Amino acid sequence: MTTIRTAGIWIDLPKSGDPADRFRADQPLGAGLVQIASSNAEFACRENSLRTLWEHPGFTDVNGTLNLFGSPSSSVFEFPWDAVPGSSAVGVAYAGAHRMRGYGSTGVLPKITISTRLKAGGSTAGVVLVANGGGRPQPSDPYVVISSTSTPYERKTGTLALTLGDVFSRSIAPVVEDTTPPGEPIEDGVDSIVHLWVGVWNSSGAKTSTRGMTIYLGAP
Amino acid sequence: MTTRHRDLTTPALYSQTRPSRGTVQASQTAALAEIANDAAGGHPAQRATVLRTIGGTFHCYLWPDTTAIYYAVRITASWKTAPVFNASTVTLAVTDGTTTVGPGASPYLPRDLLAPISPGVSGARLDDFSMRTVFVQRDSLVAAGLSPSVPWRFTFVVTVVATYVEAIEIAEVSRFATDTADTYGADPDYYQPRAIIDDNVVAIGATLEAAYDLQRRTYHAVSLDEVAGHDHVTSGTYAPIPGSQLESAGVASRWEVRPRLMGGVPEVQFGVRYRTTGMHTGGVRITTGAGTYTLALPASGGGYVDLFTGVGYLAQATTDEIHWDAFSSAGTLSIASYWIVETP
Repeated sequence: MTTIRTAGIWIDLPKSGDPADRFRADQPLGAGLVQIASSNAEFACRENSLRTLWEHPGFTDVNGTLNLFGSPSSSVFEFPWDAVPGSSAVGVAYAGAHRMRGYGSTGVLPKITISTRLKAGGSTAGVVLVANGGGRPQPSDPYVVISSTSTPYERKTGTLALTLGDVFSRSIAPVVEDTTPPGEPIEDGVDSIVHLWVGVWNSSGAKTSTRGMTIYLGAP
Repeated sequence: MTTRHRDLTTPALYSQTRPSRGTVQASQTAALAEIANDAAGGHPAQRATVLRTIGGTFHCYLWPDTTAIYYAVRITASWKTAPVFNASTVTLAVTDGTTTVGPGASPYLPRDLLAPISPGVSGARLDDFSMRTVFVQRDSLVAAGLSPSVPWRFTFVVTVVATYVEAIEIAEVSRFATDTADTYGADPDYYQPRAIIDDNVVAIGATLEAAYDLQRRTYHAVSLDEVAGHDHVTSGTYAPIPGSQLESAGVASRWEVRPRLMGGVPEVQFGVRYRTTGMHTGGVRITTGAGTYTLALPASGGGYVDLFTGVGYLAQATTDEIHWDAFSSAGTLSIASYWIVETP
């Protein structure tokens, strides 16, 4: 049986507080109204979960020699994540920790999408995106690789589909700061996050460049 | 004021169980209230990132008029060229353009923020990453006098000794409570089938509106060091901006984003932090899949000013590309921050 949770569009209702407010007090509550409201809520949960996570102007003339295209995960465990910034051999960026929640009530996480303008400069360029719980990227971590042999810049996009087992809990309990000693948290809870890492390399010493790098959450 | 804790959950509500002219069941309003709360407060989407730096002054921008009440600030540091026990310090000042809190110690800012942050010295740079997260509270800043109805500027001043600050992130945090002091938030409480709409149901409409209206996503936020790392514009006509916004000579960088698609054409507010030399003026514009939108930049008198009154639209599509152009009437236009944020 097909189950429908949302019409996939926002259905306008009269404004809250207006005389025609469908949720005004002392009125009958019809299942049809609850159906529309439920559809809107599910739709908003889905759309609101999608957002930009990170942007980076790009790396210029990355010219190390790294043949990381041999085995699927070599781009993660052979990538020199410890490279000193400023080295032209590779590009490395910590792309932050980001809240990851399901796409509405589907139980499926939005796709982490990396999009960049990329040029290889004469050989093969690679960009790897890794998601993990923090710390050094491991071969077991979810990752996606995008590559290019293009001489001019071209748009390249990769998506990373995580499961609920790939995200990590973060406790949030901010104390009230304007009292001494600090007051109890106003509200506290736990959300789920992932850390993101980005690496850029070239297969044979040619000059790879990226521009307009963004990471965003797209619909699964 | 009463608050009720809520965990971040999104219940599944199936349309088939709520046919038109059917009877609402007791559990259905509770589930509806829960998912409405989640839609309103569970997915705030404003954020900004300061990329790796060896020091400088960086500005990030957030609207305080959303459902989020906390902003998570995460600082990540590591050593520069070799393991060394040394530290970075980061100060934060927040302003609405009139009242400023910080950058020094303030009862309205996290007290842990100002402590130096030291990376490890194990020898592997990535393993030596040191991370600290603090939470800035919106209501504390409002209590300090900041207006909740204009954008706030978060200024981070980074000082390092033989270290890098790998990233400074600021992002809205989900709500973990419903609060009767808010204009939205519905208690998932008992409802008697066939009863009239009561106090436990009446707030659902407003909560759903908050899920639509009190949401802003940051589509684009580039924060450059305003002292040494900003972009320079000298072109007398609109042209790609050299620096962070340039793909190659004469070609602007294009940034891919995912518009929020609630039904209408996604509207955005955009602008820059800039300065002009002398009394010269300038302009910036964004081009999206929906069109090109300009923002005139008055003379800043040599100092930096914020101007975020540009209005534009994104394509009504699952992805869109944005690029910036600018001009300077004479002299140099310097740009330190770029910001494109959703207007719900």
